[in-house]
Amino acid sequence: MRRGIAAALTACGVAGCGGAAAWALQAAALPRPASGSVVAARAMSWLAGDRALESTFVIGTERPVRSRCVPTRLPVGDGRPEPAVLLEVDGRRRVVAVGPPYLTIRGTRAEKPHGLERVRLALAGCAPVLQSLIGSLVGLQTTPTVGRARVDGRAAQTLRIWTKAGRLTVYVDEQSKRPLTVTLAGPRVVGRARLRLPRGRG
Amino acid sequence: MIERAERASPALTSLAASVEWVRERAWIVVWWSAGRALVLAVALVVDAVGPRGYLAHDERSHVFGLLASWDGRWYRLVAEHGYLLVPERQSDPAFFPLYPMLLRAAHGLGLSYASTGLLLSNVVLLVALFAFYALGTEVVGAMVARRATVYVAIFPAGYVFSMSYPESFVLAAMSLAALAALRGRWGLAAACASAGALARPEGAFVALPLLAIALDGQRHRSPHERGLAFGAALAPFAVLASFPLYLGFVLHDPFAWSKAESRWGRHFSPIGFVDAFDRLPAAFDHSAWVLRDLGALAGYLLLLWLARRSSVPLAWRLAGLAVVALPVFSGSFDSIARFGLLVPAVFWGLAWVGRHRHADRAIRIASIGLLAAATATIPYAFP
Repeated sequence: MRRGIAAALTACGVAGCGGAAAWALQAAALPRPASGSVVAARAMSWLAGDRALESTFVIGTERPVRSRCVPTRLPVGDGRPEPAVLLEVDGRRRVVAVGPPYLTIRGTRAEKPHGLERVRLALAGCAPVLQSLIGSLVGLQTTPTVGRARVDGRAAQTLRIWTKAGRLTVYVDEQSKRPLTVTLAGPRVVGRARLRLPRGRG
Repeated sequence: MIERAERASPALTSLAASVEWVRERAWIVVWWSAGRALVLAVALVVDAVGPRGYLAHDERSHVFGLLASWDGRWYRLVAEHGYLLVPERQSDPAFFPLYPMLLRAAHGLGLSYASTGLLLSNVVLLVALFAFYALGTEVVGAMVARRATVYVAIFPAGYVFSMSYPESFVLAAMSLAALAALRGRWGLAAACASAGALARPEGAFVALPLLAIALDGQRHRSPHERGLAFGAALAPFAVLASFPLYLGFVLHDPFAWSKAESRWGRHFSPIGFVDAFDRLPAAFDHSAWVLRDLGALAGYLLLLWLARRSSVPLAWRLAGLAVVALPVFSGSFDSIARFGLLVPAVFWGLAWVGRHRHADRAIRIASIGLLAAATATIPYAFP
């Protein structure tokens, strides 16, 4: 009995040492991800899971508009569900495909938004578009830089994204990485959006 | 003068023995060179005139960039930047850490990541072949072991041994672990088995043969030795557990590995094999190459069954079954051709098939042709 316990303890000791050594080796030998990449990935994580958002945004000298954007999936030509958003801007509703470059939604060929139209969707609070734009920061060769700011008195971090329409800055809550504000500074147009969860949701 | 000669003689004897040892195994170096020369030559031809397929720009800029493609990109990314889980996208926590650690360490000597991966994988394969032959000699006898080692060197899916992939390292680690266990060197066995498991999850299945070896002679061992033996069999699983713990530490998400795997269409479940067959038509629509992996699975299962004829112990066959059949429970047949490279029993089974001279020659000729063809298709087919 005692010999068996001694053997079992030795076996557990060997296995435990192996596991601990492996953990220590990983911690010592592998680099930690850049803080900008971690912030971008966590912001993407917050936006994942079909997050609906509301926004109040201004583009250029246009009047401020209120929008609500609900991510969804709609069947395309061959019946496969593809990502899309249900967008309501000042009471007017439309469906926008945000998946592959060209989609056919309910028999209508729709072009994937790009350039200013894509940025406009981000400002309108469309989570998949915002997620995709932030995702461009965590590509194979890029390491995003992260800045600090305050939004309505809350500590926030900034992520800067260069798009065809100009420089997009996403302000995320320092703790939860929830996007709070998005600004656009382009050569021809500027814009600003305040994002919030739909009423009734924390 | 005489005293000096006497002092030198043990060293000379040892050197002579080493030379003799290498000379007896020179055929391993010959087959290793032949197989690798073929893969490198085809990679050169593809670089010069071949298709670009899905190769990224930086892979086209290196003369052997072909061999640093596919998962090689991800291992390079981990080595360069560490792990990062990107939600709803394919990301690098799906890749085990030891190979990127080695890449990073060797890169520190001044070589590019592509060259480092190429050098590391090919040189370690030579070590793996020596270890595999030594292991085979003890498990299935010298003749079968010799044929099996030649088959490993020129196996059609063996182009992966030359890529920036950890397969050659895992085969070496598994073979050395079992060899050390057979010789009663349990500390070394634990270290090698752990290294294999830290490079690829399949590496942990060497625990089954280690357990069988531990059980085999346990009555003649002291409690301490018995503990060491069973500890060596347990160690790979403890090492496997260290990876999610590390991901939990660095990414605050211990499930990052399974989340990343799910973006490659892998999600383990008890009825995953039903999903795998269910999704087969869609997988075929996406890429007809899935038939290659399906064929490989059938071939490996047949060879594992035939391995019985070569007196391959049950533990080795079960470990092989786990390596090639368990991935099907993730709902996918992808990459099974590559996973089979880590199954010694498959090669021992193939060596049984090649026991007659004509069969042996046919296997070698077919393997060489298929190895060249498979290498040429790298730009189009995920290994």
